[in-house]
Amino acid sequence: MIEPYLRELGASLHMPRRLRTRILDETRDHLLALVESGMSEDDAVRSFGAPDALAREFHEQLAGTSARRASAVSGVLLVVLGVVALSTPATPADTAIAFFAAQVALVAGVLALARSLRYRGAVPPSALRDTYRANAVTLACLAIVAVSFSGATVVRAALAVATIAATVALAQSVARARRVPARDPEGDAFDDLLAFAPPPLERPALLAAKWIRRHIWLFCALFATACGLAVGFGHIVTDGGFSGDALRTSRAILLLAAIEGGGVVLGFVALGGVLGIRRSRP
Amino acid sequence: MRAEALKGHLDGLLLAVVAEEPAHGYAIVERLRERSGGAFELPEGTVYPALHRLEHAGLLKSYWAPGTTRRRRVYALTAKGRKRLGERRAEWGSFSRAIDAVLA
Repeated sequence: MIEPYLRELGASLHMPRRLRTRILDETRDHLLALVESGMSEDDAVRSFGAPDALAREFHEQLAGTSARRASAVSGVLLVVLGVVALSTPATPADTAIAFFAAQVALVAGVLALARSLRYRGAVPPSALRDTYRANAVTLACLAIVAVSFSGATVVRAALAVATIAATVALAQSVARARRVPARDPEGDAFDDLLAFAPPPLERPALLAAKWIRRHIWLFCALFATACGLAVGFGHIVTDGGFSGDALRTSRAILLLAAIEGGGVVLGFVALGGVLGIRRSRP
Repeated sequence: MRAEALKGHLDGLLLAVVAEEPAHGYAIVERLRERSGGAFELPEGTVYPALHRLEHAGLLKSYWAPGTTRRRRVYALTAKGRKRLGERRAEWGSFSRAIDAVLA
């Protein structure tokens, strides 16, 4: 009974051969120990649990750790790109699309990392879909940013390698998540972020999240306005200072703020649901 | 006790059992059963995904050890695991005191 059980378990385990062999060796040892303790092979196999149920638990665990790895690799890529962007002078090749893509990558990357780090050890099945979606958005946006760089060959090569590594990690995490029965998410992006609130700030953070959920579009408008003004004034400070013409300067600020704010609203409409920011809760 | 009821506590229980001394999966299940007075009757295989998860999280380490008839995978607590076990014990202490205060 033991060997047929192991064959069935082995056929249900979809994972690297080395890990599968280890699991089967441990299972065989455990079943033989049960038999040595006086149990019949039938009872030993029965007490161990159904092979498909056991395989599912291993798949969940593997998918959870893969999701964490994919988030970590995306996070590293995000940081590398951030450092490269800050140390590279802007060129005409830096398009507005790359600028917006960088912002979306930052938001999605932070959410992916928060989702992964919130859970110790492995991301649970209910959070797998949210995690790989956030990683996919991060990676897609980072790829747009990466191709916009016109820096040194070695920098571009490093970015290409990091992007490929993140793509492989993401593909692996998606493939493993698809082996796990789909489960609806249990919370939204704010639940993930609230997990990191230090104890003194837990209560205010909870109230803030509650307010945002109830007034999600007002929050969107305020956030877009804040981002718009930050970009408008940031442009004045970093890209030329005040020209002396107050009217012209004000127009430039307003124009940039409107473009940035519009972009934020568009991003919120397009990706708010995918990233779990806009989500109806029970 | 059903496995589902143990689900949220299994990691802490496994860390506590392995903290006594390194052990292979079969011995871990035996110790769980003995220390719970037979209350924790979960499918034997259930512990392995949890052990692998804890190892991946750096709370346990494992190695093959020679046995009398065959080699066995032995699990041992890491420094990180010992720290986490302390946290779990403290969490459980305050949680159980709160429950007692309400139920008693």
